[in-house]
Amino acid sequence: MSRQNAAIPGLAWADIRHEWILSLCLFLAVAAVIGPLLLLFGLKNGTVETLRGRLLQDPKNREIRPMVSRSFTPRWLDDLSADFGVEFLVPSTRSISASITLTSGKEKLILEALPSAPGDPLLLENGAVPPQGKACVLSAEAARKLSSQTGQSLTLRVKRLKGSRFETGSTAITISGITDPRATSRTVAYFPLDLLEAVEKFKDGQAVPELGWNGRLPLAEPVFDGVVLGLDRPMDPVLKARLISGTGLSRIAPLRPKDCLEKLGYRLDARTHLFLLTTKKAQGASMIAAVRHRLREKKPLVLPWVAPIQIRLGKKRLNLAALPDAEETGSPWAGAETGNRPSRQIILPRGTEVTGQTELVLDKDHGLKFPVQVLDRPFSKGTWALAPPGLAGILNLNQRRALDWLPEKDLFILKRRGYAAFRLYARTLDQVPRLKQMLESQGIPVHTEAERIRDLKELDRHLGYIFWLIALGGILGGAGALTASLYASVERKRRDLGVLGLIGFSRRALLSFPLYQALFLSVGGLVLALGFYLAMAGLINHLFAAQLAEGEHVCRLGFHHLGFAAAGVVVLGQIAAAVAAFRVIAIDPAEALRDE
Amino acid sequence: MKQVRHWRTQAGVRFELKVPDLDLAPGEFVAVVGPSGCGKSTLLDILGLVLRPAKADIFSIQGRESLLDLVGLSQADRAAVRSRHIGYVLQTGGLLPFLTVRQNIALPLSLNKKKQTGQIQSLTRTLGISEHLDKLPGFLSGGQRQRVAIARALIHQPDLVLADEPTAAVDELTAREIRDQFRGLSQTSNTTTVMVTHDRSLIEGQVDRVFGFRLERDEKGGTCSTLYETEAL
Repeated sequence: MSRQNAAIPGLAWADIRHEWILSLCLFLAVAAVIGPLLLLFGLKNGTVETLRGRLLQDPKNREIRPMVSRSFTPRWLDDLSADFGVEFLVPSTRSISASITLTSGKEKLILEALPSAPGDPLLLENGAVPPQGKACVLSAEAARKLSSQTGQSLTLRVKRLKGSRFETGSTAITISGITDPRATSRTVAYFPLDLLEAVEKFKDGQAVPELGWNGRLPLAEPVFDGVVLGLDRPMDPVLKARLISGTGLSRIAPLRPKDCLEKLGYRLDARTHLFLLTTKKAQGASMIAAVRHRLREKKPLVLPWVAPIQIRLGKKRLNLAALPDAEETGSPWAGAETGNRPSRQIILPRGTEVTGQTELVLDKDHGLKFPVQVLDRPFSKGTWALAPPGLAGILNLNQRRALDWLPEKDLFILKRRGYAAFRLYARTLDQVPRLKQMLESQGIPVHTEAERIRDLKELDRHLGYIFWLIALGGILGGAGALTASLYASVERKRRDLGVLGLIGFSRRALLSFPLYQALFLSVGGLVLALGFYLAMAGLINHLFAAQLAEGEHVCRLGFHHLGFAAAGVVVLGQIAAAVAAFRVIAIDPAEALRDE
Repeated sequence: MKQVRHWRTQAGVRFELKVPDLDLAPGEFVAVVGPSGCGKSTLLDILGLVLRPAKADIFSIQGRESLLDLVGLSQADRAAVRSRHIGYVLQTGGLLPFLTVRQNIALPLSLNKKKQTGQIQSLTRTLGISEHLDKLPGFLSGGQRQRVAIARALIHQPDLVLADEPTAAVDELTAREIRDQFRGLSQTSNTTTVMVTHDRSLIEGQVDRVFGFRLERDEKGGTCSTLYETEAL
């Protein structure tokens, strides 16, 4: 910087100080434009940010609720849960099963039970820890009606109608937490999913042994893919039609004795005419009974048949078929299967090095494992393992739906197929529309707060337009006032600038005189405007403090906003000064001589 | 200065200023007199490198080796030459109202590498304004302002000082005091001074040389003013 350029800022500042009244007016003029704009932007920013923050923080706004009740399989729910946009997902039982009664002393309340699980954002962000074991979290309204507090014990009662009388199941539970009122205004209680499943089972008439509730077990019934039929004479078309009609069977194929080992897994040559009747969809034991009934005068051989099933015994993989318990098959079961309890016995081909008690595992489909007894002899004649038809039918059923084996009762029971609904929370607000679209594309109408989110975004946008319109007016006015003032200042100082030119200041140096003055005026005005904004923002936030949570503001600007505002004011000031600077070019030092 | 010509046309009337060879010696105190409109201020503009003459030969400052092409000098170069070699005293001082007396006087020094230690004090003491150094020009009398202007014109020890009616705004007694101080300081500092005035009594017997203007009209109604040296009054 040359000596004369270095001298200009001092001269510009000296002039501002000399004309301090006029300069103060200009400071105030700049502050009068910038201050209200900062306040306006602070209000817009603070209000919208607070609302947006509340939207973001409140998990209710990220909740996606299915509007229909259907069976959502565990696999489908697992897939949905694995979606990157999903923060929390817990399956839900049928809403009709979710009505329970809680009693606390003399208080009794029928309320809606909802499932929860670790990580439940609604509970976690509303002052409660998701319940585990025999515990529940009450909504504030439920707690008020029950006059209950955290840690208190309640009695959960569930009713079901059996025949013409009601049966009640009850158990003691602990209140592990109470949500903030903002979580929900409804009277609800949040339970671990397994407790709600127990309630649903009880309402469905089933027993819940772990809670001491009596009822039936959902026993698994074997299903078969067809029957092996043996007759003493050929099958005429009328008989064929009778066998296919109303029995569930759809196809009849003749079976030669020499093919039996390959197709059935055992030899069969008891009758002159053998047939394999198959179904399109596996059927229960009633299908066997129906066939027997229709052929009751022909003394037929009717044996259940299942298509080969892949099993694992230890490390050995084998196909398994049913070996019916009949004299003609030479089976070793000898009436081992009684009632609903299939015999867990199998025979294996000779040379298979598995003996005694071992674990049978079904890897595919729904997975199932239980112990079986491998008989020493006889051996299977073919290459397949053979099991009693009841056990083979159960394994066949397991290929279609999930089963469980109860060791204490030695029974196979049905696992639940799916869940009627779910509680889903998206990870962010922005994920809500995507998940909504994804679910609706699968034919699952859902309810979200998307409209509310969109409304807020629109409010933000519209407030932005209004702000920028006002800001544009203010900025134009402010820039005009600053330009006029600096221009007038240059006009007033033509003689002084001419004298500086005579003394030897170059025109280039003199050009920077109004630029520096604009810089000082802008910065001074900005400081005043900032002081005004901080005072007013503090006052406004103080007035609204009661309605604000910690960290929330009605009027707020970030450092980056203030930085942009400062840069904008300085740039605008320089643009205004540039107009005045052009006027300086026109000043000839000779004017100083002429004006004297 | 040799053979400088400048012309301008104003309101359709052509005015031409002819300046013949002008050889001024260091420390010389020269007066230029003439009626209004004869070209006195235009002469100062040209001498002060404010106006670029339409036609000029060469320009030298006090016979220094560097010769300047008056027509070819850029605005920035002319400003640079002014800041180093030329000082000005204007009718009412031409002081900057927002600077103190000290700052006004020091202004030419801020454009040069010359140091001001003691110079301002001694110069203002000589001119009798040393007690006003921290005042703003607005608080000074007309005579005091002119003395400050003289101090500012001389502080950086220029080769040439151009004074345009420096005593026009003060009373006769003050005018004579200022003239005497001005002349004394110019001679002491060996600075050539060209003073334009219309007050002949002020310069009578007090200047080394006097120049006047000869006005002629041409057939087109234009005016031609030629500078010439008269006998000292």
